[in-house]
Amino acid sequence: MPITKEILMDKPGEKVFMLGAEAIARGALEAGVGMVTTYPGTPASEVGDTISEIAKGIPGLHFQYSVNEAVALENAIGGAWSGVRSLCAMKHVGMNIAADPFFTLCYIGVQPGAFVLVNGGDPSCISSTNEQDNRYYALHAHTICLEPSNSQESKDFTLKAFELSEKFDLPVILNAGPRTLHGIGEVTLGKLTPPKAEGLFKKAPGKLVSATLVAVGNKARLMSRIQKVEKASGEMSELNRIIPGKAKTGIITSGAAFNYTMEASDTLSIDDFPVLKLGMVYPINPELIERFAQGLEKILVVEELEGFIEAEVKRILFEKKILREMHGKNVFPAVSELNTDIVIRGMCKATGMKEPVDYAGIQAKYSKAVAKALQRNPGMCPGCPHRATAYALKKAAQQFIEAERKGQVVFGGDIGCYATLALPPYSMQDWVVSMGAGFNIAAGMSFKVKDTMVGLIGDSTFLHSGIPGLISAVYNGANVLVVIMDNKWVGMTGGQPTPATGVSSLRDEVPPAVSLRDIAKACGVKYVRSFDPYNIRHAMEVITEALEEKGVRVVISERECVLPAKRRMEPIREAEREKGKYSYYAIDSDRCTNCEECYRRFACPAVVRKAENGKEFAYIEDARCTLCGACKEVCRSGMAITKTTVNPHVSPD
Amino acid sequence: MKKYSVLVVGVGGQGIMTIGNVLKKVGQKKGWIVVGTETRGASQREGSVDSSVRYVIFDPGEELNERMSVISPLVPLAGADILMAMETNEALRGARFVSPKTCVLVNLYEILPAQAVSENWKGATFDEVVQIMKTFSPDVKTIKANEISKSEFGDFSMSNVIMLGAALGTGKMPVEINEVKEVLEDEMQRSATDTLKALEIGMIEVTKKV
Repeated sequence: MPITKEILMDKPGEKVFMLGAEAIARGALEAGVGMVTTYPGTPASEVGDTISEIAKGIPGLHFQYSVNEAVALENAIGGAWSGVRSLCAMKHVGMNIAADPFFTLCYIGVQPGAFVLVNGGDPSCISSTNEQDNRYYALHAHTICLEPSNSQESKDFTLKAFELSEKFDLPVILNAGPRTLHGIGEVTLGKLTPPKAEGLFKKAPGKLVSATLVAVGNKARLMSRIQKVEKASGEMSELNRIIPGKAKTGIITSGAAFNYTMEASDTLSIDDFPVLKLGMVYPINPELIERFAQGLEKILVVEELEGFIEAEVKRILFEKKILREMHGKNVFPAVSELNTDIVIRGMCKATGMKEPVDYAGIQAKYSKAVAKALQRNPGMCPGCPHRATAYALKKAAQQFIEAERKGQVVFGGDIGCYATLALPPYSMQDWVVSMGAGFNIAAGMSFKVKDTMVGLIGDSTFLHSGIPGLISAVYNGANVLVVIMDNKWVGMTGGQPTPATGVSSLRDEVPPAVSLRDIAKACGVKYVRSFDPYNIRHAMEVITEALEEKGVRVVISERECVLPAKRRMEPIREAEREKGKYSYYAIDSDRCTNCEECYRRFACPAVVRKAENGKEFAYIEDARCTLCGACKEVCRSGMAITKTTVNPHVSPD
Repeated sequence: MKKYSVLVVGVGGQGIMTIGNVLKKVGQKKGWIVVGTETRGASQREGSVDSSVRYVIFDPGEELNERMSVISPLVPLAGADILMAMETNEALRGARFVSPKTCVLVNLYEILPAQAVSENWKGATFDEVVQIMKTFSPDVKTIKANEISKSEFGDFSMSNVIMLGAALGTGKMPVEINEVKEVLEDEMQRSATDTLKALEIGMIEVTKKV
């Protein structure tokens, strides 16, 4: 639920609850942001979504969903170079896509504007394909990285990030994981600043044309800028601060780990360990570390994922010839997100304290309890068009292999809700790697194995990074069937629009939706077909024919994501129901043979197994049914499932 | 100064977030430090959902010590003061946050996962769930919030408010019913009369069992 009212509240001093992601959006508005670009990705999606809700109401603020993170970053550079404060939000793996322009942006600089890059990390891979630690981008590209610990800091650090970016001519990475971006806390509002409506671009080829000698000069200037930041950061107490203590053991921490550390210390009744809380995790001021290490015998570094701060601190101490007993990744795991319990255990290992809770005992007891709980796997919604596509594809592939009597069908999976097809009963994602990798790996494999190669890709993922691969596959003569599952929205991240949706969050006029068929043809694909997945029998015919063909074939499954479709239809259906008119699907228990096809193999959650008078049959739960009608197509008896429309305005005959 | 942690668990669509939001706002009105987090994204996909609400409670004028007042939005293991389980399977999954001091409130209502239906899996009975939860804490209370909601209001939509009432009825919550009522009136879609009635029914029901 967007908190539009609070985000726009112009009452400095007012306290409101915000997600960390919303607080970043608010911070950007207080900083007078003039351009926000994004490609949605958990847990950073809410930054762009929040701005998207309000952008129309703020004159001079440009917001856009770009087709991928590199494009989003490049678009926002356009803002910064015309003197506008610009922000670009993406998830950690999106940063890999954007890395190319990002590195050179660091070389060149962001002035006369400012550039903040919000990076949503995902330790524990709650919603991602890896848990890479993007603080290394700052180290690698010689730029600034800030890490907020809560909602208030998310807002404050965003303001600070713009200030630093403008002052030091560097893009600033604002790095936060889901516990910060999706954590809720109180935020004291500041003053809103209207954005700069019009920018001004001054040509500067000696800086902006980063090639050969200019590039080398830029590198030297970059190094000097980051050294200035390193020097100045010793005095930035609003970012880096020390909580004093008399003990000989000190802790250095940042981000979400700070909260765990403080809570763990309190649980262990530690009230005298000095704590250095780093808001700026790169660069780190050497004198600050030297000052902190003075008088200490032991230093613990508590941080999520890799030992990034640990390595920097060790380097600094080595250069300062200061030797201390140090503990970091030897006691705090580099895998998965931390929590208070993990930090307590690590602190006990490093200090020899006794664990205050019997963790092994709890775990043993819990394993027994949870074994009794029914597993609840994430799955696709009732009426999801991806399920119907997958069903048709799986059936067609099985029949194809039976007819061919050789090999197997290999399914290259991709990023989106359809990644849940990896789970039973479908089990048809043979790999999930990165955006676009599904059919591209299949295309490469097609040169080396005789199996039938299929790649699955969503519409948004196709626009994000499918097009170059498709051109390449055609050009190089790959042998792959590309199934584009076109549901018109970015479903997985909450339903953001794409250029294929035909809506824009900022503009009133509707931009023409791009045609995926035309794109496939323009890529050189001769074989392009489409189907409506709810019509499963027709879908199977189309897929079977495509499986039998050779070369690069594209079939497009066209059906809107059921969530926005349902949201639009619900008021209409509600109004009709009030007039006594309604439709429903029902299963005739006499005709149902309980073959389990609809609820077990098709596996729509709206269809359940029911038992009455000693007979088992399938039953449709009306409250969950979206009237897609796909189950009717999978019914083996062919007659058991029917749609009934009650219409009091039409006579029964 | 003391800390108090609420963990609400259940299945998407059961109104878990609403309970969390109400309790956060009550804490904010009281001037406490409030943090929380929730499972986002699974709610429309019939997945497990949880919402944590953590208070740092202090008296007016009490000096705040950062060493004691900074807490993470995540409830630590065996760290919940109250576990409100809207569903029995989720109660078992929430058991790791229960210590012998935790007040456990279980709504005797099961939502079968789609796969459990198709594969004919059988979960624990309500009695088994209560017995297992009792091995974590002696203070286990049950309520049939869905049943009550259906009979009193015609559908399940008030189950979460009944559950919230029951939590207040345990006497273990640091907030008062009137404070909750005030916030609830803004949060709920149903009429205020129904909402307050549901809250009171929950309170009374849970005390009956003591």
